[in-house]
Amino acid sequence: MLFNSIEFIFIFLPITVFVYFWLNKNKLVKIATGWLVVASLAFYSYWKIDYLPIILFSMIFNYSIGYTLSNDVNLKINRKLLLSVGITGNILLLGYYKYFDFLIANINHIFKTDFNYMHIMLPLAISFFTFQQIAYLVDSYEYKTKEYDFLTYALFVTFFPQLIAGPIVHHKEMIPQFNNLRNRFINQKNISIGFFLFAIGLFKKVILADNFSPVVKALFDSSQSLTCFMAWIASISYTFQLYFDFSGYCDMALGVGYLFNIVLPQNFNSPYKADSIQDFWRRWHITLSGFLRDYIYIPLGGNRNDNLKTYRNLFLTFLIGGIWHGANWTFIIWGIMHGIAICIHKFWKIFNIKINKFIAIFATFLFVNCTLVYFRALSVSRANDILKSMIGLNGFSHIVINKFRFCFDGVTVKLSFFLLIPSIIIIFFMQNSIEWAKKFKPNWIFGTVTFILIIVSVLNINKISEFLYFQF
Amino acid sequence: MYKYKNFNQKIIICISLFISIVLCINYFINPFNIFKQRLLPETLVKADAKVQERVTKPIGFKIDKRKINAIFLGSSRVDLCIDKNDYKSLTGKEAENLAIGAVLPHEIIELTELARKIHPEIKEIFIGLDFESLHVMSSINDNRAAITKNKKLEISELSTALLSVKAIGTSFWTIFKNTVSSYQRTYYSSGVKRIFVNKDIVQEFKNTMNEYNIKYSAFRLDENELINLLSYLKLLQSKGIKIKIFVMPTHITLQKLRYDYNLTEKYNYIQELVLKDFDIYDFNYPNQYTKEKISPDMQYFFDGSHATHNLSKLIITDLLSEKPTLARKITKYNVNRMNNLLEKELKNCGDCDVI
Repeated sequence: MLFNSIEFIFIFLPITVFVYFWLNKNKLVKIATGWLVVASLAFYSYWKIDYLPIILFSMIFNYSIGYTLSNDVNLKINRKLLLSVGITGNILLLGYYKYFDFLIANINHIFKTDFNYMHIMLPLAISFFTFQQIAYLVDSYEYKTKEYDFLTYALFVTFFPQLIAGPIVHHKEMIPQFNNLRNRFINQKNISIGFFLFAIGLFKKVILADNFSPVVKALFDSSQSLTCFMAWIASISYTFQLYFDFSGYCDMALGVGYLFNIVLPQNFNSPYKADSIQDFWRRWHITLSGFLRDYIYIPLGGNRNDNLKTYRNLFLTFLIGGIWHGANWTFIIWGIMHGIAICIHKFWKIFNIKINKFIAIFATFLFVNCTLVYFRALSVSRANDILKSMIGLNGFSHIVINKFRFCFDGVTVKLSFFLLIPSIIIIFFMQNSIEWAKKFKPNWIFGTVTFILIIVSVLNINKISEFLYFQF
Repeated sequence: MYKYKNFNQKIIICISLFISIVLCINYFINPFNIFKQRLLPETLVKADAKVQERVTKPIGFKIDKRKINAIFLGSSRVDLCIDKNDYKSLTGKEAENLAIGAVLPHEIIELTELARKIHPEIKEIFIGLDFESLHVMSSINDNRAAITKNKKLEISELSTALLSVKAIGTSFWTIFKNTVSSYQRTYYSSGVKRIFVNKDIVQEFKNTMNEYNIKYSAFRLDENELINLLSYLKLLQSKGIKIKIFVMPTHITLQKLRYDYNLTEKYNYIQELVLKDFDIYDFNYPNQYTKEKISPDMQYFFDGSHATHNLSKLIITDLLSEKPTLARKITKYNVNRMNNLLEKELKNCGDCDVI
């Protein structure tokens, strides 16, 4: 089920919220928790019921191991070994579903073999719930998860606002909220903020991201015939689309979380306003970079060792981050580029040279924009074609503007000024949704804005579209 | 906390009221003609509902109380040109146009099955086989899901009313766009021909050329789709349903482009598969209509790919006849001769400079 669908907004969400609070009001707390788990699983299965056994198996597997680790159950098994089994199991599950065909493709390419592809169906959200549960296992090993019962754990894994595409939540920030009895009663302030955030997210997704989508698709599909201007429009459009799509989803997730009095972690903080690559990763997919820092970078040694090892750790962390995003060399290259960039940035900091803030923001945006070409392109060669076009190796065609729209040779879609200019203003010059939510007041201005954003968005949910991060 | 409660109540009431009004209007009055896919009955102004029409056309068909004798299927070429009233005027019987933009062969099967479920009295099926729709292109699979993914939406009026909520935003915009004079297109009103000047007609043809440049440069036939469709049609034929396959006319600019991309061999192969069991009524060759000069007051084409209603009666008359006057009836016996003739015509098209 998608957040930006009529069935979610008008059927699933109202019923889930209403029943949840009604059960809590009648002191059926456990049943209310169970209801939320069932609703979340129904939300997950709506797309394809075949995915359901995988998440159930993953939950039971991880909870069993976590419980054993954290409760000192008297087994004659080495705890470290058990933790390794748990983590390996998760990685194998992820590896099998996500990377098996990629592995086969590379073996066939390198060794000139002809192994058949398995065409394994990728379960929704597997990357997200796998990472969450790995964190849980590690913390169980350190006795930080003793008091969790299975139902609460199941809710932590499956809680539908964050289930499909994050934010990647940590058990220690979620489970106390689920267990807090005060959160079991309707909080009107949270509901207001929830509506507001949801409206912003929906608007970003339906009106902004989805209108960039056809331009991006048409231009990236024609990667070999793009001229310089078209290539830049393609990359910038995708950079904007990804931002609005992902941050829109996160806003909706946060908004829905607020309805249940659950505060999900912020995942975006105006990333394109970053003045360095390090700053960018403190603003973009914050929960993923937090996970990578806590469970990969720091265990590798972090910056506790000499510089060379620090650079190695940084590079490996971003390489893994790239691999996490998908089974394609484009994602790996994207990760490598960011790894190198962050190493360069770390090295650069030694000299303590100050750069004008606007230049720094522009340079960071330029880098991010160019690397996202790999993120979007279907293959490395296509990405290379676009980048070559961006530097003018495929020629320059004159810019055609017709009725406030950029028109492109050989491509029927057009990019409207009325989409591009407001997007630039929103991304670079306006406060982000979390900043607005902090200023929220229940007055007619916020009310009107919320109403208009929701109505305009709902009336334009006219095509089936997916969130870009669904594929992860 | 009271202020927040007040705020929430007002938001919920306002949104619910607005959506309810829209739902009621669409369910009971249907002013946007979502079921009939026309904003105004006499024009070709449509709600921007490429996904919805896969749901709404069958639903419109379901609530249609007429006794349907024939259905027309195919892509937007059939959708925008064929007027079911022309069929009625020629035969006295009822027909429906179930053609859908960028339709795929398996969707033709699904639509036919649905149509026969709703109106089992259907005796004739006319299928406009758009050879370009047999092209394997990933973009074709975007947003195709309304019928196949959401089976629940298949023939439910309530779902369509809900669906219409989604469409209304773009419907308003479509009405607005189409009332601005420079956007007006040629259209056909039953019994009365009305042509509006369209200054952008040259651009429309250029757009078509651009679109098909991409399509033709990477054309790959999806043979399995076609074979499945033909097997299905053969089965229907064995049950006594008359099947006629035709190829809609495209403008000469598109025909030439196809020839320039050397697709004749692939097209001939498609013909070969079809001709095993069916004849083809081919309207897609250079003639007085397809060679119409591109000008603001064109009569027969909106763009390179889509013919107007002005050709509807001519096409239907030929489809009802065993000896068509406009169409070339291609059979397995004369296919080589016809294809040679077409190739000569396209190669030597002296008066084909129509821009």
